[in-house]
Amino acid sequence: MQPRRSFRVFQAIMALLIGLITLFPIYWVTVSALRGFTGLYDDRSTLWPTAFNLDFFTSIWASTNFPRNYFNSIVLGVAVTFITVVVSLAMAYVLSRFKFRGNGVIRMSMLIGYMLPPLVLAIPLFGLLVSVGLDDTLYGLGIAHIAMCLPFGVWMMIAFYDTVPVDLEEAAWIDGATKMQALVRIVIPVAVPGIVSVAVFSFVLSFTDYVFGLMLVSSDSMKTLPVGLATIAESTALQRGDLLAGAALIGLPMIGFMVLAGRFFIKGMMAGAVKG
Amino acid sequence: MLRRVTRKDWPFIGALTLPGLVLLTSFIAVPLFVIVQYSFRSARSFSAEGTFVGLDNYRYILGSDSPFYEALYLTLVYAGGSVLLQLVVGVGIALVLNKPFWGNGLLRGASIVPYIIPAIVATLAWRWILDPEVGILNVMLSTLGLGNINFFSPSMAMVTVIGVSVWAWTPFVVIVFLAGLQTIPEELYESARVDGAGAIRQFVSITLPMMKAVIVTILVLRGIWMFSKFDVVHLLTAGGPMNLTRTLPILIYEEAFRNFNVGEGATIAVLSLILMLIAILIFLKLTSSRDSVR
Repeated sequence: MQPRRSFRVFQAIMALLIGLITLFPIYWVTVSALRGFTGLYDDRSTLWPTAFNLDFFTSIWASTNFPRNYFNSIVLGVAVTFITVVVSLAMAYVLSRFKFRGNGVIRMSMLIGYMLPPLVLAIPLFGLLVSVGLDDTLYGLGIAHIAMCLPFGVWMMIAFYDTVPVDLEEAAWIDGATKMQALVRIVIPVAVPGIVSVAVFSFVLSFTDYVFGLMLVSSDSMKTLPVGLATIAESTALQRGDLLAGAALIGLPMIGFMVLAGRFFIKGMMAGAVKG
Repeated sequence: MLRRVTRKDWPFIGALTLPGLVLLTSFIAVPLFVIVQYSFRSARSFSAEGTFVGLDNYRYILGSDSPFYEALYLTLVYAGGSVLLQLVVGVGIALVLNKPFWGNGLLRGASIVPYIIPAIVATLAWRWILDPEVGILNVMLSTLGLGNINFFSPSMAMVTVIGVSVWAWTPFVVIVFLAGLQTIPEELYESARVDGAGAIRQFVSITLPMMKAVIVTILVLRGIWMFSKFDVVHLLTAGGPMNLTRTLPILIYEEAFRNFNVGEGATIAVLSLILMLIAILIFLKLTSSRDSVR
């Protein structure tokens, strides 16, 4: 059915407004940072770009730990994503396919783990990491990130496996394949969209985490990007424009990433959240 | 879908679940146990064992000169205000995006940007936009003759923090609500239209009742997360001015990581966890008992 004309006009206006409010902060940060030292304040009331000056960008990149923090975040994000994907892939398959005592309990604790606030876990985790000598390391932080990603990863994968028909695996079993062979050759290829969703989700969660990064790591060279930029913001040596450039250097690639992978992220959210 | 397992399946099941179970036990279950233990101790650092003080921490935190109650009140204002606004705005946006139009896919993609952007980027951007002197919003307001607003003044700080939080987390509501909308059969709307029901009538008597479970899910999840939200508040105002945005998470952080009162920080954390669990249980109980009647 074709919506009425008045609704279409209303819809167009609303859509524009949503897009504007959503993207304006990132746009504004980028445009402001590009104005350089002279234009940052002088042109502050001009809504369109007025200059293309990379001084702030080069200054935050060259004179702070920013590149190092960037590197830390990407390496950590990739490692956390890989482990989360592998572990949740395996665990969710069993929970989705087999009926055994404890299945429900594990699922339930997964859901509770997903809801637990990072802050509550950060205090005891820090204590535990101190006692094994992993505080202030990326390993310790990685462990915390995996613990944060895993419950949702498993939950999401269960939802995806549940949509894959069992017939294919059963046929493989009858043909003499072991359970593991059937999983690797038959099920995993079909579950690739789900795997990508878990991967995108884990990476974003790890890359954007602030709570664990702030509490478990203290030396500047070990910090991840969000905490690193917050630390740079606290120091008075830098100008406002440098920080905006830093924000743009995080925000713009993430928008690019979402253009490529956004639909997997959305699919994962739908699968995980609506199921629960 | 679920199959009974035979004895020879156990090695397979064990191999696949063990890594995850070990990780979850050691990094979620054990920490939960440890934090309760911390709350019965008085320790000045994370490496010190501390001394066992029984319920002293709880007595102090729940006593009359503790900052707990004010922080709890501010947390309820913050969580309640931002969740309700997220729900209303998010449902509105989802309804707009649910109808096909040119650029819909693009807009859906764009609409999750605030949700995935790190809090530090969001807060740097909004602090720049809302700056009392040079922020673009104040420039626009004074051009319109509305004068300057100090968005970080004592009377405005909480409003600002809630506003930025709504900007950041409304996309969650949009996505989840959109997913739910797709499960409502189109025939319901068609027959309602045949009966002459308008858009508002359709929303009230079809969409809302059909989406009850989804709305409850959104309220519970967002409620828990906003109740324990730390990053945006910490990065925007750090609890100030005059502690007027010092919610429980900020207080926990200050006690445990700034003042090194690990025991007191842990106690507040445990108390807020208990409050959250009670809220979840009441909520689920209320909604599930009504569902079973239907």
